[in-house]
Amino acid sequence: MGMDYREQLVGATTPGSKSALEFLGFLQHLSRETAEGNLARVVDAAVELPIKHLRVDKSVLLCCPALGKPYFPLAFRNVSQSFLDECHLLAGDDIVDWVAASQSPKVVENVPSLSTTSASVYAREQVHSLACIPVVAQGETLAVLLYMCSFPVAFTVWEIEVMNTIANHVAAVSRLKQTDEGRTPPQIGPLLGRLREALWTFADLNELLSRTLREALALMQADSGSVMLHESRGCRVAASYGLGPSASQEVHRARDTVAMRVIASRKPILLHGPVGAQEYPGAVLRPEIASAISAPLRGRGAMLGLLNINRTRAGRAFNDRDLAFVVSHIARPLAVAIENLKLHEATKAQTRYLRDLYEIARTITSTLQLDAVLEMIMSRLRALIVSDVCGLLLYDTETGRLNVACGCGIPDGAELDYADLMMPAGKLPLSRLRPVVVPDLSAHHAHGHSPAAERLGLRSAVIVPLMIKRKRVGFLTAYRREPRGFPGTAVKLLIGMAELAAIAIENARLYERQSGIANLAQTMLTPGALDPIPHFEIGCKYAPAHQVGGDYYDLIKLDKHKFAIVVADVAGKDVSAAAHIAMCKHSLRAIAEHITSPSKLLRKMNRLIYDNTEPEAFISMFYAILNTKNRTLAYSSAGHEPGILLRTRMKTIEYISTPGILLGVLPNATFCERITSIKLGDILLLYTDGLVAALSPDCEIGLSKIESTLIESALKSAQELANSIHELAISRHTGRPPDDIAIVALKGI
Amino acid sequence: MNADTQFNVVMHDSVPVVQIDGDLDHYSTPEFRSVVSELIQQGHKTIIVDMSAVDFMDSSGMSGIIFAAKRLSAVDGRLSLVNCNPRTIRKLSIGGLTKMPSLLAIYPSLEEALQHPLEPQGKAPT
Repeated sequence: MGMDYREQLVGATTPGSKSALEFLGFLQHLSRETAEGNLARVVDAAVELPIKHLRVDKSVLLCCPALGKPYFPLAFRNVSQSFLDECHLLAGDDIVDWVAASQSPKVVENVPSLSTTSASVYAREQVHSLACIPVVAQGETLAVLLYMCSFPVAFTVWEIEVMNTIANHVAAVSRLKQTDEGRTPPQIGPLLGRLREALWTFADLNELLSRTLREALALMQADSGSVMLHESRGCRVAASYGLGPSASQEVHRARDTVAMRVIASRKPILLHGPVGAQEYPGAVLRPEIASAISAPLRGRGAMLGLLNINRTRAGRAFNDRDLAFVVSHIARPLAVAIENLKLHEATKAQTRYLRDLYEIARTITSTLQLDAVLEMIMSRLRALIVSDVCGLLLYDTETGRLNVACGCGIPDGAELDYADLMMPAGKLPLSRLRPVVVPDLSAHHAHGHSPAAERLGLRSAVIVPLMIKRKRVGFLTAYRREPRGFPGTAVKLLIGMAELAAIAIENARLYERQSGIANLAQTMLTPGALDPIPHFEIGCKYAPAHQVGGDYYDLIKLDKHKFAIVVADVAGKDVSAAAHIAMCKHSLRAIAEHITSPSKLLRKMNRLIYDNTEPEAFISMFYAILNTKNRTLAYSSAGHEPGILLRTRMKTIEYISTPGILLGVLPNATFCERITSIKLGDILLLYTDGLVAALSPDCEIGLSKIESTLIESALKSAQELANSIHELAISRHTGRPPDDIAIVALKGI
Repeated sequence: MNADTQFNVVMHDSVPVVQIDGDLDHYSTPEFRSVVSELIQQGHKTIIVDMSAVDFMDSSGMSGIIFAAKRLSAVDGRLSLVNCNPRTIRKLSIGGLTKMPSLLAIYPSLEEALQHPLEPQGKAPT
């Protein structure tokens, strides 16, 4: 493929040449990083760049420890944890294995059509197309780059060229390649190969160190040795061979020991025994050791530790050439491998942390019921953090007393058991707002004599305060049977979880409080079933769009034969609307008996509302007085939707209304009234504008739907009729309708 | 339920025209009220509201209109609505607001509203 991909790139810029030029800049940057030997950055760029600039949305750099052995991901972008966990399943198929063996790139456009073992792994990751590129150095496949795309894509020649270039950069930067350079005697080739294999051990740091050490000793024909890691306490022996079991616990602290000198000077040391106490105090070579090499493991910036390799008197003493060989062929690549492993571990841990936190947030914010929120917090806590007992303490919002809100983990545990265990957390000083990690409960002052912890055999704990607006509202607690049972990652997750839990709990409490008010308003104001009227049937339906609605209807018995029917709509949908309804409902009930004319009543109500509400408040109202004796209906409307009257015998529809302004707008508004009759079988439908709006955006269509339903359902009872009209209105909406709906149906029987 | 309703005030010969782009509902009415209040505070007695881009107005929206109309009528001014769609007209008409010229004037177009000035700015009506 001799074409210049740069030319292709600039020529084939579909989204605009800016991104292509930007990409060239990145490639130049990649070359610089390669020249400087920044493996980690090059590896990072190898998975990042194609996502930014090519038609790739997921990428993984898979290391090949040896042909036929499981692959493992060194770097990745946008792939799920389950894909990473299943990477080993990719071995043995004709994509990754084929590419590793043939050292040629492979493109699969239609991954779902594959029938190989790996097909399901890709399917779960929703991969539709992929390109697999080998990373080859010195004739050996070190890794493969998997570039995946969730939609069908045919990668162009230049895209493959660009991927190859990236793979070449990764190969070039690998210090393992440098290891092969120069003067490797042919006979140690296989040993070096095994060492390289050991260096690609990514599963576990201890395994990497002990395997590399063994192979290094074999390569150097040495008898014993160790890898020490530089930590805050000094240099700790992390892996040893041939030094006896005591060596594995050693920590070198003194500044004049060999280890600390190598760390301080960053230079390797060649020692010949016996080493005198004056030269290296505290570092007397064991009598059987004749010569030793101590090479620093230099990371980027910090010192990671050192590698010690010893020969007994039986062998040839190490010379400067051996020293140089150990530094460049073993210590340097080992340092890179350790760093890569740490990077890999950190990335994995961070990914897990974020995924867990996302999962927690998604679950515990999915409900506003406090009990359900608490339950979900507990279940997430148990699922994500290995703890034997965990629980939540919350301060009572009224009394301020700390109570056990929930807990789990104590077999047959009653609330009292959890209280015994967790209450000492409340003894923390009020100023204490940060998490407390108790590595050993028996030594902690607050938990010192907790009989509950002792009885349950709990040894370590984490107590995280739950904070809302800098106020402590409770504690999240977790306990384990092992001392020091909570690693840093678990504590970090607990802190993240406590933040989310506090928000979820506060939201649930706020919601409970508000819904408490709303529920009260609703139970007091929501119109219920209406009393029966002789010779008439009355049916009603009420559906608020929010918890507190702004519509209401009522039936007031004025005397033996007279009944007042009222349907009203209050502006707004919140608690103030509820207050207006309350005022309206009770004033109306108080004055209705004394005013027998609907128009006069509306005039009185208008004045009341005008004087007692804020300027923008208004109420539309239809007020009618039904006389059951002579079957007449006197009515008056204040800016309300007209009533729909079905003359059943004639099958005709009448709209009954009177001109009149909304209540509360003008101080001296007057209203007029009319009288009609409700004959046997006639149906009067009174409603609020929410019904018309819910039926259709075009009110004409909405009204004609009501008309036809009325005619069709003329034989139904008044209540059935109200129900069918309500069903008709809500059938257009998936959830609640956008506005309140109130329906009253009156039928002459 | 459109939270992104935009309010623009354009001056036509010292008469402010409030252009509403979006629904006038529970969510946008508070802003409408504050826009109108500010204009009244600046001394404007005639305010025209261009409703051409209002698709939906609920009872909260209507309370905003009534608020503006009442405030202006209290200072002997007047609110005019122009370019209302049939749904809005029906709502205003049922509410009895289309027959209250002292409170609220409704014109089919902005030009017509501008041809019927209430009074010169700052003077009492005759």
